[in-house]
Amino acid sequence: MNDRITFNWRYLFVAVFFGLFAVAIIFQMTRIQLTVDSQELPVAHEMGQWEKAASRRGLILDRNGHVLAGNQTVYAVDVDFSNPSGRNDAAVANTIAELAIEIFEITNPDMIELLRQDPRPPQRTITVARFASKKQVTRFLSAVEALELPPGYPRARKGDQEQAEMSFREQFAVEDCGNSLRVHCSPHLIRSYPEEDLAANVIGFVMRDEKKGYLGVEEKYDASLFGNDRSLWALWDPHKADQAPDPDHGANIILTIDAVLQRDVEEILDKAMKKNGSLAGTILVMDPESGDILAMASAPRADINQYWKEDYQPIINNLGNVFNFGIKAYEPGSVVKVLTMAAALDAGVVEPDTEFIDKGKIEIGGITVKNWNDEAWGPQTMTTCMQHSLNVCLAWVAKQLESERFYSYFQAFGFGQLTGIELAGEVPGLVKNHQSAQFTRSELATNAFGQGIEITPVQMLKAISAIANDGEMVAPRIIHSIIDEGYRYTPPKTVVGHPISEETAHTLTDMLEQSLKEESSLALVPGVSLAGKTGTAEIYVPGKGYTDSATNASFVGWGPVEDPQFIVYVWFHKPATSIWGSEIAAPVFSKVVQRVVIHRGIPPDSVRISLQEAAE
Amino acid sequence: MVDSLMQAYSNNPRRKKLQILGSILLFLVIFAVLLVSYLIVSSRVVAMGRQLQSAKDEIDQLEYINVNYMNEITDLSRIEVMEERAKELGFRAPYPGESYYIPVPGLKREAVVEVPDQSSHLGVDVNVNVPAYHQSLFEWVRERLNLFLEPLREL
Repeated sequence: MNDRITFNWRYLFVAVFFGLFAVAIIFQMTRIQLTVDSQELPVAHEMGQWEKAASRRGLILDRNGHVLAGNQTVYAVDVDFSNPSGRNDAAVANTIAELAIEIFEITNPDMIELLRQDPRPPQRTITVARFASKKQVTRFLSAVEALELPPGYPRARKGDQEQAEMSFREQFAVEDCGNSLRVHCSPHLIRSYPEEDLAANVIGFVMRDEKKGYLGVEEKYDASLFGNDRSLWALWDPHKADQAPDPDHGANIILTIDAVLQRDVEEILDKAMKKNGSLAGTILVMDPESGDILAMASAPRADINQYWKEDYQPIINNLGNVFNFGIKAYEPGSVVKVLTMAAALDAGVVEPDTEFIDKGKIEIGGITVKNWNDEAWGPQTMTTCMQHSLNVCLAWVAKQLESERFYSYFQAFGFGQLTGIELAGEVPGLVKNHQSAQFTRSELATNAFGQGIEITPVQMLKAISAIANDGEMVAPRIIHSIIDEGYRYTPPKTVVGHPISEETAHTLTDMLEQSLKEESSLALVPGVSLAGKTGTAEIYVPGKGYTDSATNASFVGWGPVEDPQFIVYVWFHKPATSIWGSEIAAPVFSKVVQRVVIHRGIPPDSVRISLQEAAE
Repeated sequence: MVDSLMQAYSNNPRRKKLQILGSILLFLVIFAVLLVSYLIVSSRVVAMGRQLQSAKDEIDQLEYINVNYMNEITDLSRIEVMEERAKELGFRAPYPGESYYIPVPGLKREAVVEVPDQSSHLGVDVNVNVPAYHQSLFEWVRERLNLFLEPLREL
């Protein structure tokens, strides 16, 4: 019985002990509930901060992997002008403001006024630079660190003593100026163009504030290039760590452009424009087999690293589609005769030896067409018609073709349609046909020699590819490959039709080769067989009509004629020293071909033919 | 006789109370083990989460530094810079007549330059969206329980 009583006491003791412990816990819980406002307590699943991952915009590379558009780390620099020490340190703040103005090259009068305002505005922090380079930030921080701060003025953030012991450069590399009390830098990425204005007309540019691509490849492929750097609410809860934004880099784009050839072509274009006084110009080089654009030079160009400069505004604003003359529509003049003749030969209306008596004028649709020198050239063949670029002859050829066939060929060559080249801002040009409203028969005659129609140099390349490529017309392309997340997509070449037969292509090439040789054209290159045609188009001035005081001088050619590996198109707008394509554009074509054969490793005809014979 | 002895032994009040106490203690021990296990797993998840957070920050920092280095390399390999260096070394661009072509039997030149797919070697496909990284043990138990109970509920 006694044992039983003792045993119960032990139970009671344990129960009281645990009971008191439980009461203590409940008391503490109640105390917390009553003394702390639960509304003020942080909510665990909402605690976090806005974070942005360092996502790169995709690179733009040339066909050999040379970087044409990359990225650069820049810093937004915020300076705290508050007075943490409680002392009058206005002098220090003023010195820092002056340093910022000098080092970050601040020219905005409003910003300068804000920084020099006395007394200083109540706001604590001012963003003194948004796109400061590493060099500028380093210089600024060094200068701030070297300032003689009032006694007791803390240099480093509290709790950063270990970092403060590190060298300044180490801190900068790791923390990006995070240890400086007065200055806060946040890194971010912007677009940079290491080759400055090289191929600027092809690449386009990215607005720094909007991070949006404008013109060229940058606009056309903005969605693919865009590195998703959107800000996300990143929770501090370690369980939700995976929800913080991951870098989402944009796709890299490889262009068909050869950067070294592009540079050479741009140099030739710039020098020629300086020499002949043209207002603008473009030179395009294309591989007729694949449609790859190897070079697309356009002038004037802008340094797209500084697109905001006033000098570049006419180009950047792209009024009149002047950002890239390669995709700008214009009246090309006699280069179109190549296609008129191609249509006539293919339709069987004429042959190379078909005779035509040139009387110096022809009347079609109520207008009189004359030759470029207003003279009659007498008996001609189709080859000599092309050689002497006779408007009267080609208007007669178009008349033989008749409107329906003539325009169906032009449609098959892709005139009036976008080529599909992957550049923003391409225009379809303007070509009427016999079914268009307000069409007059006289337009059949003028269109035959490239007047009254608007086409782009890229459209001409596409059409000419049918002649240089055995009748097979390919779409010009500027994108070689897209590389995204480890996968490469290389679009295949696009054959867009066979507007003429293989036989017609060969016949016309022979005719144009012969005509270049006969006239001892300035376009010829020793050792390389070439076919081509000049173009001189009078420019239409509203109210005055067509005037020969201002012209578009062009040349289109391809080679080597037996195995064409390049088509070159040259266009100069309003040259001053001469109005003729044969004097302005043809010699430039020759210079470009001399560079192309070296870059593409195309041997002279003699070597090439001996190699082919050896192979056979 | 044996049965009545066994009954008396098992019905002994002291033994009965010991059994109850033992059960309570056993429950407490199991509960404590569970709590400790949860604490260990939870702390490991938190530690890993922290590591993930700092790794992500580090990735960003390295990305900015990497971009700067890439930019420097790009600047050093600009066409203009390379040309200057070539000129300093006594090179110049060739003219068409200066090139010599040596026929090599059997060598065929590719019509289109193939750009090697370098980036395919860079991508590493790692699935970081593992539930354990963002799920507490209770959430995991609840999820498993629901999975287990769902067919029963349908019945």
